[in-house]
Amino acid sequence: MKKQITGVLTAFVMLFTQGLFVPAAQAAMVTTDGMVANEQRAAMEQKVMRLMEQDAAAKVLAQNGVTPDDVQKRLGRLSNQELQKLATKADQMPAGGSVLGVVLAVILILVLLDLLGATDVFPAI
Amino acid sequence: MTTLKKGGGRAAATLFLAPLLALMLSACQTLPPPQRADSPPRQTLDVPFIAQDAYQCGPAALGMMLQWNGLPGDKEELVHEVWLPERQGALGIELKAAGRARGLLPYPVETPDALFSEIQAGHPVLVLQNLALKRWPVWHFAVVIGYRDNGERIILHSGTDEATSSHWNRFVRTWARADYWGFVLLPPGELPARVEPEPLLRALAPMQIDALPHWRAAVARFPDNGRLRFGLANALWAAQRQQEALDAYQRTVALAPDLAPAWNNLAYALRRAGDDRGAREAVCRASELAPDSDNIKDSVADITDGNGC
Repeated sequence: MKKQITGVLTAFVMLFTQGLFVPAAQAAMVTTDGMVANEQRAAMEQKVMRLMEQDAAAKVLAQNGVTPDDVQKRLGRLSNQELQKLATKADQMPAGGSVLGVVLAVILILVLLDLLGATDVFPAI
Repeated sequence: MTTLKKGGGRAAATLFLAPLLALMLSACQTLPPPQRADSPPRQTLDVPFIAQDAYQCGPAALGMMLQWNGLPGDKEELVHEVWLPERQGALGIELKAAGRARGLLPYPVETPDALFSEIQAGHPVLVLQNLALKRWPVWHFAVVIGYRDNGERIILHSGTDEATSSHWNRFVRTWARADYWGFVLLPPGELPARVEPEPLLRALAPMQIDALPHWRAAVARFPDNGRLRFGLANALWAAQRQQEALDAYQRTVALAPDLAPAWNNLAYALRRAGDDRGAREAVCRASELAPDSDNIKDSVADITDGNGC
């Protein structure tokens, strides 16, 4: 019986959290998969936020009335899959060194996060 | 592959083609096989062959890997499992997932050197190749089963060809165009010839079935790695071996004192063992290390009966 419940819980948790830290109401142990997914997520968020710290990025944010805090909050609301997509997109931008590259990458991220109000890429937000 | 037409306007053609030719030549620079392939200079593994049907190289390649593991590798069944009709192909991650679902460890093999290491250790390697151009790819899965002539020729089960051989130079180009994607699929207790703790952790973490013997092997190989020890502890806990799990969590926090999830899980293992005070101390340590984690906040409330740390 217990095993069955654990099985159902595991399936439930996997379905809805995709291996994120598990809410204690369901199971309070952290799975290995959950730890790995969580660390990968944190690394992806950090990558985006580091980009936002650059001078060129700060200008774009200021021009659009967006603070790095807004970006951080939006990132926090993305599912793992959405964040992964965003990170892949951002990776494809040639941000390395060039100011234009940084500006384009930041604009792309803001559009994807729907912070410019231009599109509705992630309707869940 | 490319032939230059001979005949009229030759001088002009040479003038025009010279830079192009130089470019082509530099692109055709031969890539020697790694030195590792010198000893032994040849090796062929005994891997059952399954011929593919139209486009279905993924299920066939996976079937060979499963049969090498002594499992049934019926191609027709695998087609249902991993083949996507709308793509006319299989996805690499699905092949790995199918192996994992059978309790086998899929571990990445992503360099020529690693490829030869695995063959020399007796492990066949499933590789992805791009047989055409980067921009116009033709994807193909094959199984590398050996090599000869110091690695100058590579031996593959590929498509409808059993133990066909290919020039290293040609093979490595097609493999490079697929970003050197490949993996070994290993039975419980066996580890890749080339293995690092973090990739091993990532390969094992999603495993749901028969994970315990894999974690035991991982910890035996890297006894001082706290993160792998955490994986073992969780696998023991999942297998209802609570006392062993408790020991393993304690070893984990000794090896990796900054690993918040380990303190969190230790708290639950201690509570189960009746040590409420130890459980509180452990969960509060987790909370100090990861104050922003919602999971650990919930754990603190749970373990301290809402009293907090």
